[in-house]
Amino acid sequence: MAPLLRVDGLRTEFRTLRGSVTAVDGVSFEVEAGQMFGLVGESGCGKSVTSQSIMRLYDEKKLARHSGKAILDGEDLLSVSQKRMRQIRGRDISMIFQDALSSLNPVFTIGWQIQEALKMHQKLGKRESRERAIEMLRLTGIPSPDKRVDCYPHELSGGMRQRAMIAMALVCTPKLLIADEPTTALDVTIQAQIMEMIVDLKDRLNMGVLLITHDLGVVAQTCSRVVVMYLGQVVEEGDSCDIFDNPRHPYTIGLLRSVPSVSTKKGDPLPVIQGSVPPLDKAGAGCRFADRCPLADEGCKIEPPALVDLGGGQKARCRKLDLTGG
Amino acid sequence: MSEQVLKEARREQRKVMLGAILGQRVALAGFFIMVLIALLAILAPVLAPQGPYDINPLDRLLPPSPKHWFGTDSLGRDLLARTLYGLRISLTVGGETALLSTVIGLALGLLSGYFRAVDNVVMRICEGMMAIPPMLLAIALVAALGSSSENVVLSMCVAYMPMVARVARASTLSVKEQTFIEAIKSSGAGWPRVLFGHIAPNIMSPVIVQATYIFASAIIIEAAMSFLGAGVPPPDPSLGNVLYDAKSVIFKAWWTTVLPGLVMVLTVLGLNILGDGVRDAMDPSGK
Repeated sequence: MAPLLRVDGLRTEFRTLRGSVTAVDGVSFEVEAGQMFGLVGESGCGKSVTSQSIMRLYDEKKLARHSGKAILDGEDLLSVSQKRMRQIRGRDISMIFQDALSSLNPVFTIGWQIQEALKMHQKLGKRESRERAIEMLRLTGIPSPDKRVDCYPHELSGGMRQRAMIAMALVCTPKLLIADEPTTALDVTIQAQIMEMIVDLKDRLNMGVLLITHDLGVVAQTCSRVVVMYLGQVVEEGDSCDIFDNPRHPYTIGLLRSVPSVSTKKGDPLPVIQGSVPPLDKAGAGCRFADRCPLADEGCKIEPPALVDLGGGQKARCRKLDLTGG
Repeated sequence: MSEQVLKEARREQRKVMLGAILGQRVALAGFFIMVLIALLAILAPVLAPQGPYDINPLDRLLPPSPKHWFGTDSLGRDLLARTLYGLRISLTVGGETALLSTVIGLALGLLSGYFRAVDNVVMRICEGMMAIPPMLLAIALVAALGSSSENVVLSMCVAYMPMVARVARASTLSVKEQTFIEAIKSSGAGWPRVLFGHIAPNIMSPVIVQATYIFASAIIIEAAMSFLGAGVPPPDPSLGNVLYDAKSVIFKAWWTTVLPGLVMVLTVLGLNILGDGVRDAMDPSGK
C-alpha cells in the first residue's frame, strides 16, 4: 500500500541577509493512514520548518526555497500551484499549534471560527454548518458544546481552547493532521487527555498524524514510528519500540538519557548532552553532531556520515554504529 | 440547535456590548451628550423658533430672551435656529469625513501592512501628505477645488486619510505575525479572506478611536475653515460660519459667540468621551 504522505529528500533554504541557510537538509520519511508518526528533536533542529514546508506556508518569492518531494496521495505538494495548495490546506492536511490562545482569533467566537474553516471547503447552509461545529466540539469532548459554541477564546480554559482548535482543524476530516507540539503549553493531566483524544480521533477518522514534539514521553506512548532530527537532518529513524529500547545514534542515546524519570534519585545529577545546538551556518563539513558527541574522533569532523540501514526499519546517521550497538 | 436559541445568544451578546458601553460612567455621559446633540440636530426643523435664513432687520443683535433663547445675530436671524441647523451641517460634514477617510485609510493601511511592495509606495505618499498640517492641506485643496460642503468633506478626507492608514498599517503589521493568522492560512484561506476577514476585525479598536477623533477634529477644522472663509459657504449655517459672522460684533453681543461656541465644545467633548468608551467596549477580552 502506498503511504499517505511520502517526504523524499526535502530541503528548505532560507535567504537571509548573510546568505542562504539550509534549515532542512534532505529529510525523508513516510506517514501511513491511521498512523501516529513522531518527529523529535531539540529546539531549532528543523521540526517545525519541515511541517511548514510541507504546508508551503513560507513566502516562496522572497524567503524560502524548497526542493525534494512531499507526495500526499500521489500529488507532489512542493510542485502544485498556490491555488491548488489552498484547496489542499484545511481539507486534506490540517495543522494544530502549540499555543491555542494565540492560534484562535480573539474577536470571533469559536463556533464562528470552526464554521469559517468549513466554509472555505464545503458549501453548507447556515444551520447545518452550525450543527457541524457543535458536533465537532462534542467529538473533541467539550462539555455542553451547544453553549460553548458561542464563547470567545478567552472565555475558555487552556484545555478547552486546545480542543476547540482541534475541532477547527478536523472539521473537514483531513487525511493528515500535523500536530506541532500540541500539548507543550498544557499541564500534565490535560496533556494526557488531549493526546488520548487525538489518538482516538485518528483511529475513528483513519487519518495520519505527524506529531512534532520534544517530549519523548508522549512519543513513546502514542507513536508507532519515530524520526529524530538534529540540525536539519534525520539522525535516526525507526519503530518507536526499537528507538526507545535500542537507540543507536549517540544523539538519540543522549536525549533518552537526559529525560528525568520518577525513579531518579534526588541529588543525582541529570545526564545532559554537552554544549548546545550550534547556529545553522556554523555547521561543519563532517557529522553535525561531532562537536557534542562523546564518541566523535577527528574523522567525524571531516567526513559526513551516511544514513545506515540497520535492518528492521531502523536507520541511523553515524560512523561509530559498532560502538553503540547493543 | 434551533433558530430561537441562536437569536437568543445574539441578543445576549448585543446586550453585553451595550452594557459595557453604558457600564462606565464617563462613557455614559459621552453617550448621552451625543444622543442629545444628535436629537437636537435631527429635530432642528421642529425645535427652531423660525427659519435659519429668516432676516428681520428690526430684531438685530437682541440678547437672549424667551422669544429668542440664543438671541439674534447682526442680520436679525434667530441664533438658536442657526445653531441647530449649523449643528446639522457640521455633524454631517464631520461624520462624512470620518466615515470616508476611515474606510479608505483602513483599506490602504491593511494592504500596505500586508504587502511590502504596496507599503513602500503608499506609506511614502502618506508621509508626504502628513508633512503638511491637515488644516493647511484642506484649505489649499478647497481653494483649488472651490468652496462647497462636498469639497470641504473631500479635502478633509485627503488630509486625515493618512493618519488612519498609518494606524491601520501598524496594527496590521503586528496582527499578521500572530499564530492565528498562520492557523487560518493553514486551513486554506487566501489573502483577501485573511486580510479583510481576520486581520481587519482585529485592528478595529484603534481605527475606531481614530475615527471618533477625526469626527471631532473635523468639526473643529471645518469651523476654523469657515472662520477663514474656506468652509461651508454662507448663507448655509455651520457652527463655524455662525461664529465667523459673530466675530465682528464680539464686543457688542457676547451671546453670538459664546452660545454657539458652547454647543461646539459640548459636541467635540461628547465625541471624544464616546470614542474612548467604544474602544473599551469593543475589546472582547476587556469584558
